Amino acid sequence: MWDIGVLGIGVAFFAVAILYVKGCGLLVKKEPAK
Amino acid sequence: MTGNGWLQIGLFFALILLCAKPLGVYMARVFGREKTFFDVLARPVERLIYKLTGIEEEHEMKWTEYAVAMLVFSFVTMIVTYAIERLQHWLPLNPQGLANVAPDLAMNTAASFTTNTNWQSYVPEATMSYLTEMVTLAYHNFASAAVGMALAIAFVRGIAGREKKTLGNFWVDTTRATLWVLLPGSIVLALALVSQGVIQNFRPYDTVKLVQPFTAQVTGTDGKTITQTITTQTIGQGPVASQEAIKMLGTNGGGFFNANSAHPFENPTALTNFLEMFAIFVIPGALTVTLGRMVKSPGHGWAIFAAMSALFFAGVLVSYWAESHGNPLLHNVNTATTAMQSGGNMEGKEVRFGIANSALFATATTDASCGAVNAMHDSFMPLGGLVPMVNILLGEIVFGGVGAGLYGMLIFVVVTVFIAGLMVGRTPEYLGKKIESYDVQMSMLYVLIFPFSVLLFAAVTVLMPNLGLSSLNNSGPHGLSEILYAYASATGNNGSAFAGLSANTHWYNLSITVAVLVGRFLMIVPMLAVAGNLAQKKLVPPSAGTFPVNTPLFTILLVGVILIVGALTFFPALALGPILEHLQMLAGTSY
Repeated sequence: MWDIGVLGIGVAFFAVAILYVKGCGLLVKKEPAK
Repeated sequence: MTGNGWLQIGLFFALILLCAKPLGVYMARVFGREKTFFDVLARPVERLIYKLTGIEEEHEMKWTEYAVAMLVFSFVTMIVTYAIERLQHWLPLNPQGLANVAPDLAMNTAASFTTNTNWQSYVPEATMSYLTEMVTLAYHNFASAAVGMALAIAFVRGIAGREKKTLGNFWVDTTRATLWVLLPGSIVLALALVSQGVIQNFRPYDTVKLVQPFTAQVTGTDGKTITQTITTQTIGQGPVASQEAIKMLGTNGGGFFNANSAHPFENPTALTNFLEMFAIFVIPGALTVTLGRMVKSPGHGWAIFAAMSALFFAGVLVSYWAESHGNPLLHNVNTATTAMQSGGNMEGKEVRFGIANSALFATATTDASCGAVNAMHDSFMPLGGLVPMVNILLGEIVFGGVGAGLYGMLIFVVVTVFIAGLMVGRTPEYLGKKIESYDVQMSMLYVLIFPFSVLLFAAVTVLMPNLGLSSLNNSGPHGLSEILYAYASATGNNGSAFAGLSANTHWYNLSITVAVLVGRFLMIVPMLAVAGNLAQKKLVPPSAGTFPVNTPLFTILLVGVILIVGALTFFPALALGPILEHLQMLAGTSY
């Protein structure tokens, strides 16, 4: 049970981190490079 | 403080300075994929790795692809580490028959070593098998350091790039950092350490009879406390030298033994101590030269080196001064420095290293994100302990972790250039690149995530008597310092501790797991975003309003920005911790 719980923390964190990359990438599109 | 002590500190710094240019130029050639003298050995191995793994070495990555590759690599290696820890009892190279590591501790350790933190909530010699030490922990010492170097080089490419959409190839950068820099450096250092007496074997632990048996209160298997006469001592063995070398060179810091570099099998002599401190700074120092060469502005690299040096000397001065003066409340103890004793505050320090080398080690290991210790920071004087804490809280950008220190410092450079631009009312430029709102937003996101994690976790922990405060060995401001230091060290990916905190509890293991992941990956992503955005910008020709970034004025402004950001963010917490403890000590109260 503990194994599932702590692995869940790891999986959840990296899933959020991938979305975070996408979020930071989306922000830049609002301002074209000059 | 003594002349001898300052001479040793000066010698240490002189050697770092001396090695910065040759090593920095070498690394610029390695990451620029130019020819080096080491190609004859490393290039065939590199080709073989790419062939086996299917990596296309010519493939260039956008910053998002680079970030995802780094995240996937880190996630997979973290899970493999967790699995080996959980199964070590049934795996080979476990002569002591050590049990499988508990789930929360295994995840804490896996995340910690993946992120270059190497926070250790456990006693290594009583917890980790030789296989776990070598296959997972020592592996991460190489991999996490190589990832840090790759990321720093990606940022430098972002600065140097002109209208490019890519930052290089994560797999190639990581492989080259390992094969060309970390592996040869570690082999040389490990052999030097073995020559001085650092052990390297697979033997079971030795049991020896004590010359002077003693009685102690021990807890029996039924949980009752009994008085027992102790007549023997178990002495740990293992493949220490190979792990010790990369532990220092990769600014990892996780010890093979609980006492870390205070243990005589990890750090037996004054020479090994010097080599270990040198190994912490040599790559981060040289990376400033790599930066200068890759962006074609050597003066900029040296300006950053100068800023790092100024902050380093400020730290070592305060730490050495505080420790050599000792505790004024110890009225009947002779703390004078003589030919026969180090004097000052020797609690928690090794006699073979003394005050100067303990203060220097503590400063260097927290300037960088190393976290190895040769003295117990918890036993430092309040202001002596303040120095390692401040070093971590400033973001470990004083030379810093391999790679991590440089990209952390470069984020501060972006903020500094932005502030300088505001001062003169012009659009800020950094080496010909206009710094615009997205760059500043991402830089500030990087800067703010760190205090958010440190202060939030510390505050929650302080408010929970059963989960957080019950682990403290000290009350009052020193107890607050222990908690603040733990989350600063975790989020800063340092790994050292104010050792008065018993951190092997569910709360600390899990909260520190999250803190190390946040401090590593949620800060790297906006950093790479800035790099990716800078890479695609056009170069703007220098004009009268351009702020030069290779002058003493720039160095002073950069140091000022770092100190102001750090002071504004953490001064209230520090005032309630080490500063209050110092003032109370002067008023006659010690914790």
